[in-house]
Amino acid sequence: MGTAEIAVRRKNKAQRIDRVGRLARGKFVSPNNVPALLKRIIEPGDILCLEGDNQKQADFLANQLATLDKKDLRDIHLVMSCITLPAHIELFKKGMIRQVDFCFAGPQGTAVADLVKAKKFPVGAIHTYNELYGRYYIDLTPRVALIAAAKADRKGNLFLAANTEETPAIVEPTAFSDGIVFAQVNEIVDKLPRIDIPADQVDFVVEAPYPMHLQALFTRDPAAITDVQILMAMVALRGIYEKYEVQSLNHGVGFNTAAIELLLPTYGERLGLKGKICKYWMVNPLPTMIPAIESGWIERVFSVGGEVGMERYTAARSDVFSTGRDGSFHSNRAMGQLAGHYAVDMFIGASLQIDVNGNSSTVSKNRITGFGGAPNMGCQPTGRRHPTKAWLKAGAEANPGPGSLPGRKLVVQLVETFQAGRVPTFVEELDAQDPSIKKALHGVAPVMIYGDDVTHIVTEEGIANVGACRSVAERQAAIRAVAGYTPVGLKRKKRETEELRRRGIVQLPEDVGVRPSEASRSLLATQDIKGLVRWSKGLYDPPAQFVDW
Amino acid sequence: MTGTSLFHEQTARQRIAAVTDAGSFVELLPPPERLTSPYLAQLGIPVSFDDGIVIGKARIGGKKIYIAAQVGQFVGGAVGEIHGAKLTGLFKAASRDRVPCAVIIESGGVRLHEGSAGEIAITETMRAIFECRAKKVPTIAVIASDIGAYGGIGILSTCCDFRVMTEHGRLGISGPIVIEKWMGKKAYDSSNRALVWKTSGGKTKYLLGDADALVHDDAGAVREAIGKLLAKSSPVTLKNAKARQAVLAKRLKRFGKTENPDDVWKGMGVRDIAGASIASGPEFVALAKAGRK
Amino acid sequence: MEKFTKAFPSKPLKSTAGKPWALAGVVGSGNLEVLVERGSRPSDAMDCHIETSIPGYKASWLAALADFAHHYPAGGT
Repeated sequence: MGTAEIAVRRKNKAQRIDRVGRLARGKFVSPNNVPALLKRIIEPGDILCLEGDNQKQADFLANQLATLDKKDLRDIHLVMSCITLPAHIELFKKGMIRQVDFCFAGPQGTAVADLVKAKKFPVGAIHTYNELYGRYYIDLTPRVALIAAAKADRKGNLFLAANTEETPAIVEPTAFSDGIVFAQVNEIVDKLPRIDIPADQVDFVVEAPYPMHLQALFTRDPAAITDVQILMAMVALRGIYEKYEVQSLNHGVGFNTAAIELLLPTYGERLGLKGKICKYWMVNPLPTMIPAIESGWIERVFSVGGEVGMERYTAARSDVFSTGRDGSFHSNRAMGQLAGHYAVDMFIGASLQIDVNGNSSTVSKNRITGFGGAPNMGCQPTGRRHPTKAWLKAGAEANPGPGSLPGRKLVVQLVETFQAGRVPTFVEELDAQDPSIKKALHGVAPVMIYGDDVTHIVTEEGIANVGACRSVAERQAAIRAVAGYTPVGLKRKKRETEELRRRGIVQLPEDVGVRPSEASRSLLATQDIKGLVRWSKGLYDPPAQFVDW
Repeated sequence: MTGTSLFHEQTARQRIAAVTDAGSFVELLPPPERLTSPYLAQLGIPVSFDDGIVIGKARIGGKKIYIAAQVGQFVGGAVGEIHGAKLTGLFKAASRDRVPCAVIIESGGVRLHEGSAGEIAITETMRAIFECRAKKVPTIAVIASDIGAYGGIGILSTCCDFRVMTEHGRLGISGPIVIEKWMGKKAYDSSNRALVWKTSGGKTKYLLGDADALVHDDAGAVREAIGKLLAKSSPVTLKNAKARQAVLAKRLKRFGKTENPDDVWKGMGVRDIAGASIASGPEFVALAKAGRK
Repeated sequence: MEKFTKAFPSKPLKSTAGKPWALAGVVGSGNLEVLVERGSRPSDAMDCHIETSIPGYKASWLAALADFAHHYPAGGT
């Protein structure tokens, strides 16, 4: 019989830091010592977390990590939200990774698919964001976390600026389990505008030789919004926003939802909906929200991240956006996701592929992108208890049984029947169900949103109220009814479709008071980026790629 | 601030209807005549019922006018044999009837699929424009969309008496991508939209005198500008061609080595560069004039 | 180029429709041009001629046109 050792992790952490020796001066590391330091603080078998959501990346640290090789760093269990950089892919190519658990791989979707085919991508599971953050406290606790912050002071306190994103969600579980937190910052200063992460939770800091990678991912140029997207936006506004009186919501970012945002001050105003819908949002500070904010539609917006170019506007609109005592923007991915799950009445967004049962996915054989936050927002929050008009109305339509909640969240898929290149959105079976993909994911197909959680599907043909369908067969018929002239849609039966329309389960644009010929770009509050700048009274600074003046 | 129908987003027929007197437009050789491109058909490429150009007669402010509008979305507005023949015929009718002729342009130039046929067509149109001008029949080019007037159509635009532009329009011969290809990205980054518009866009063209009017992206403003130009025209003579050459030589001497388009603007008298960059139509004109005082 | 012709039953065009022809759209990527003309065809059918450079979608075209003819009075065009 032996006695259990105590404080093993704490002792081990002390050893690692001791090993660092002269490579750091207190907490501060010079850029050229980073690779050597990484070798000393990371041990084989470690759970290693790299920061990078889809916007902000600790790219300097990732690049330095990628210069190491298998003899320095092996058997690593990589946990991270987004696989976005070539440096991330490099780690797999070098065989350093034993297992990876992540959420999203958008920019590297094709590279990841190639790694899967080459059997060099040992994936544990694809997660939704909050799921992964939750596991950081349970069984995926990082031993070492490489993060990105805007500034540090001389004590090691960190300022995250507008792009807080997931930093607190990574730092807290790491810091409170004797893990090591290593931050790259754009600048070390004497005094921070505000302290977002206390120095107690930070072990090492490097002033990176280049500013952290930060992408303007959520800026949608109004000039690219099409008439079809405007038609769908009008149909959604009348058939869902107006009908259910949606006061709180989350928009999955895209041109189709941008069209809705830009129709509020014009079409929405005409319908007399101001004040009745869209007061509370969980969404990034999208430039296309500016006209609705300036027109007084919006009370509060909470965001999971920032958006390049919106810094001055969000600071000036502190009544709407979350700002710190220093006056600048603040965001938080984990809390935003939580709010998007429980505290809003509707999620609406697009998808690449939807099957006849309403399941959707963005995964295909040649592109493994993962989910991001969609499963978290686009699902039924059965833990919810507080009622609202929209929640109760959607709930009643679903005919809840004696063991079900009286309310339902509106989960809306907004898609055109065809994607680019004449690829149908609607399919009999998702690419995600492909045996080779399932095998790589331990038998579980990467479905992003499940059909049972969806309440409505909106296409250019109309709305299918799948939440009100009473059987699997009925739901399939409703989906085929709005699947247009895709092979899935061509299989619809005329009599079934007419019956569903009679019952209001399928609605054409004219059934919700929208004439397709009315759908025109001239309805948008503004047709271009310059117009957004004018609406913002010069406070919006569009990134260079959007400026043509 | 409400959404308005922007001129650069309107279709060719919408533009014609919006700049001419209500109900006055009669289309000549309309779609039902099916004057389509035999070359595209041979290549298995879908044709357009009007070969990408709408022509006809109308009135502006009660005055007769021949008018055309190119359909930029059809093969980039590029000119093929039929398209070019319609345009040539329109200017010939204008010359014959002594009625002003305006063309709303959006074209990259010659339609490559039709090669020589397109080139010949454009030169025939230019000859017809010169005939109009010899008879003092006003010829007006309106360049007001992102596609702009390039290649042979760029040249054709400068053969007209006048050019009306908006900030969206661009006028040139070689497009930005071609310039970058030949001169290198450092010399000309075609992905820098601000640079492209500051070197070939309507505002710069107006400043330099290559455009005679700069108006808002609005059909009413375009109509008004055309209306003001319906009474004037001058023939193309050796004398005024040489005078024009002299102006261009002077410009080349002055700005030939300038690297930054803002310096050209400053040189032409614009003091508030930031303000002028975002201003449109008359606001820009006012800022440009303020500097010249 | 794939070409095909088909007539679809449709309620007669309203007599109040004044113009002899109407045009919509522009031939281009993801777009099409549609010319509708009044004709001396039977007034209870919509006669269609389709030309497309993208083969393989005949079923979709025919279904879309059949639905259109059923939904709107286009007979005699």
